[in-house]
Amino acid sequence: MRYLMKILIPRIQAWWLLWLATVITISIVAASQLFTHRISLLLDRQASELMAADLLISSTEPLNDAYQKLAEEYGLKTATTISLRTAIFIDDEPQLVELKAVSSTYPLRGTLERKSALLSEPQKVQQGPAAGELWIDSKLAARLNSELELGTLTLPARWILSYEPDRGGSLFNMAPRLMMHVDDLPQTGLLVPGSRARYRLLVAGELPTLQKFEKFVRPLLSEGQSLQTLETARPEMRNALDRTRKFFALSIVLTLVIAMIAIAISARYAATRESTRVAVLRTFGISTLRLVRYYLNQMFKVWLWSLPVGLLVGYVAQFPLQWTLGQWFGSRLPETDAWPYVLAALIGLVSLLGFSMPHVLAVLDTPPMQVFRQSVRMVSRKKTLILIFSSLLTLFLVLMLIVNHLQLASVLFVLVLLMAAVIPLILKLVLKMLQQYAKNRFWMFQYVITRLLSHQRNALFVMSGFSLTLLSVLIISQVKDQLIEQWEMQLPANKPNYFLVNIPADEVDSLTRFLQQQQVPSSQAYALIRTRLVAINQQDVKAIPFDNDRAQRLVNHVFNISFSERLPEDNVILDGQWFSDMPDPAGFSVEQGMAESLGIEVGDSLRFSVAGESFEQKVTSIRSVVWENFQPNFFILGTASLLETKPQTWLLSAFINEQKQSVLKPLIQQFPTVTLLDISEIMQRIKGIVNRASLALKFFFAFAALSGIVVLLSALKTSNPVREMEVALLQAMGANGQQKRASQVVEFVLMGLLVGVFAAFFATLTSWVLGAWFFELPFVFSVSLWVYSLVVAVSVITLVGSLFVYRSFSVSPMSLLRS
Amino acid sequence: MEDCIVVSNLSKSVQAPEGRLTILQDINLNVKHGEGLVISGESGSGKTTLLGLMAGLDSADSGEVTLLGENLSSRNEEQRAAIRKGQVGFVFQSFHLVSGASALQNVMLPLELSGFDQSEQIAQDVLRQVGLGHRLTTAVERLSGGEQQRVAIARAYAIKPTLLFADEPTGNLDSKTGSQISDLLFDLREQAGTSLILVTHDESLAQRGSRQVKMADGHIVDIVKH
Repeated sequence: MRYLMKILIPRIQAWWLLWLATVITISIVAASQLFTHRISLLLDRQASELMAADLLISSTEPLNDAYQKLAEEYGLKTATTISLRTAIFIDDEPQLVELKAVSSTYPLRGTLERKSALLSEPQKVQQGPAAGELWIDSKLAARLNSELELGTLTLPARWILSYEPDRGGSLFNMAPRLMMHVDDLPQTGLLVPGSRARYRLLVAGELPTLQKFEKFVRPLLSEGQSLQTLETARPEMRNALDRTRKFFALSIVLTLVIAMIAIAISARYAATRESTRVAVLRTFGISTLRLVRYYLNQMFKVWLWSLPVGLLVGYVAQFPLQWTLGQWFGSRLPETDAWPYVLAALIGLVSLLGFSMPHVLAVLDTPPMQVFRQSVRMVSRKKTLILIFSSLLTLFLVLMLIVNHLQLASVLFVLVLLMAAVIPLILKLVLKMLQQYAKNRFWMFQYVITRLLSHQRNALFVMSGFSLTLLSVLIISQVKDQLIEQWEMQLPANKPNYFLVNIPADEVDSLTRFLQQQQVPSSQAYALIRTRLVAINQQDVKAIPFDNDRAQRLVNHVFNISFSERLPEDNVILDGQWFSDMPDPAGFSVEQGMAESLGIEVGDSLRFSVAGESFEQKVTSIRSVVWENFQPNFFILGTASLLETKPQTWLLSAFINEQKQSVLKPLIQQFPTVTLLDISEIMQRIKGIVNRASLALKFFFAFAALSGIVVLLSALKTSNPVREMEVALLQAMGANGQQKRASQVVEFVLMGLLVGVFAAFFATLTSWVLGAWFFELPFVFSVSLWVYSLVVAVSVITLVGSLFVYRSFSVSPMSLLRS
Repeated sequence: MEDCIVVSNLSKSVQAPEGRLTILQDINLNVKHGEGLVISGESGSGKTTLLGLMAGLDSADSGEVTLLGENLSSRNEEQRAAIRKGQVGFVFQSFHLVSGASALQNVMLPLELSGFDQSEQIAQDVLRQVGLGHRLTTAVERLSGGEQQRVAIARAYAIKPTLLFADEPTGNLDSKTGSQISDLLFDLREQAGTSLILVTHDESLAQRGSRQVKMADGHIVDIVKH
């Protein structure tokens, strides 16, 4: 047993600080990976509420029951929906409706909302209509509580359906919605062979099981059947999720970098303390190889002992976060697999070896003479190069492990190196500038500045770590606020909280006049032409082997194209020319993502089919589109001369505030075919997601702050002998207690001030740059940002620093004689 | 001549793994103003401990030390520091300079701590006196060992101390530089009339004091007048 302990336990006294830094690194990775993974799963889930499922199989033909049985065998939840367009008669007038029949388990994700009257409060419900009842669109509110004929079945309209989670997608071609139970559908007689119905199987469950199911079922899909996951679903949601994940990755990387600085500083401290031991072992004739083996063994033990503690701390650390964020997320975070733990262990080992061993190797150069005479040891150029190379390689490896994407890892690598070079340099320059101030006295201002510039203090590392952490938190807050402000500015500019769709071409003018009379602000009206892409460069799209699901979906589905003389707001021409810049406007303008998916370039020709008629034009421009701006956005835009004669409906956006809600009823009565879509609800949901993501990011930077404190502690531990000597020296010179304490406290206060000013200044600068260049917002100087930054930086650094060095104040000046 | 230090029945012991270890036992010693006293002895004889107790850097287990007329035995560390302030200088074997600071700044430090005005001018004068007028603004870690010890001596003498304690001042220097440093120390002592208490195991340096206290095993074994 004793032998086993001897084998397993490292020399704790020598390595405990390094052990602590490794524990912190492992905890950060474990906690952040566990938490981000789970948040990411939750965000997926929340976003999947917009699909009402995690995965769905869609077909124009009835779906084989085998898929549903298979999903249930996998332990997944299922629901089915059937959607079709049909006409019902209202006051003997035909009315086109979007009928949706749903099973009792629908929706699997998200909730439905229903109202008992047009202007009453909506109720959230987890189930759709029961058999024998009908829920109707608000546009058909006048028919509430009356009987409606659906084919050969008559059903009572019991509720107004005010929200359904998966009514995204084709927002602009919806006729009023009718929802019924799927068991009632056969009795209507509406579903006959050849009906243009869409059959969907909705599936939900834990990610690993879903992935297994998807892997199994995908090859079984026949032509006309498609499988959608969140990733392949709505482009605006996919973009938002991708960006959120990148933000998460970036935040973890920044947090980790600070933890790795802690490892490097504590390793240097531990290695320096080993020099005498190495010199003694050298006098005994121990070879370098044996010493390397010995220290590798020590490092492995340090890692082994860091592992259980680090993983445990990481595991426990996610609970306060979960508890705090619980109310924000409104649901329990999904469970994850073992990967975060494995990753944490791996990154702990890589960081420990990569940042520690070069320091140890450098110490192995210690000459045996050191035993007899202590001397200042110079590290050779070769060893310095090894140290730099090893640190860079380790950093890159860790980045690759975290982001698992070569390009992103490379970008982050360069970013981290830049920050590692620039931040300490800026802080050093500021300190050097301060050194020019009040030069005729040394005590105490110049004394403190000198100490901060001293290598023994590692003060620049500490300040850089804290500055980076604080700056990141401030920037996240600023960007989040600006992002939301910009959205609010985009929408409230003309305040569109409703889309009015399905407007017949001959009613556009009268509807616009109606809105003007009612003093309801509205936007320009756009035509919507339902079309299908049939050929690219004269080649049938069905014959083109696309390598991505999105392309398949785009060519299999009908989508809307429109025309406009002006380039729509937020669109940017990336290649080619916009129509108004051409002498003879013609052709198509294609959205960048669509062009990439289908491999379309300027000059290619596209053939579309509308109601059996086809037409072909060249692509004259590629455009970027901001999908998240809630303005009407189009994959394809053409010219009015080409498209204005095609079958079309129109849409426009309007702002109908609470005082104007009474307009809704006459609007519906006068324009019965027009459908109203309330987008403020969707806007609120997206805002909620952004707020939560921002809060989660700030929590990661609480970990970064912890790492910053570890860096501070490592630096304090490293500099403690020097600090004690300084205090003893001041004491020998007759300095009183106040002077001794002030010499230390002022140092921490100054560090805090520099960190606070640095973070606040660069956050303000970033805010100004983003506001001026990206968000087009007027710059507003934030006093609260500066106050927050200074108070946090000064109080944290001064408190932690003073508590740690408190014992130095009682050091005996006799140590000056004994050192 | 008046005594600047009076040591009576002074004893000091420390806790060692093998039990209580006596470092000094029943020491009695007087140091006169302006005297150059050297304490010599082998390693472990207790000479550095005695110097520390006389300077008030540590407290004794029993006995009394009177420094510049003040009894240190009943004083705490803060009060002992107040007695040293502006009156006592130190030169250490390991120099103990503030790294990163210039030679000038190192010498200005005790002056400013003691409330001297014109600290920069005084520091410049003293540094010139020790032969470092050309190295005023050089960071101390860029100076040679001998130069660093000169800065330390300038720092000690800048406040015009009544008493100067030097612990093995030539211990980290080669013999030639050590000899120059000891010359400097004794020359300045004579010029300023400062009392010097110097600890060394170097017999040739010990010969330079006006009185030599020889120590062994925590006892004074001999006092020799030169």
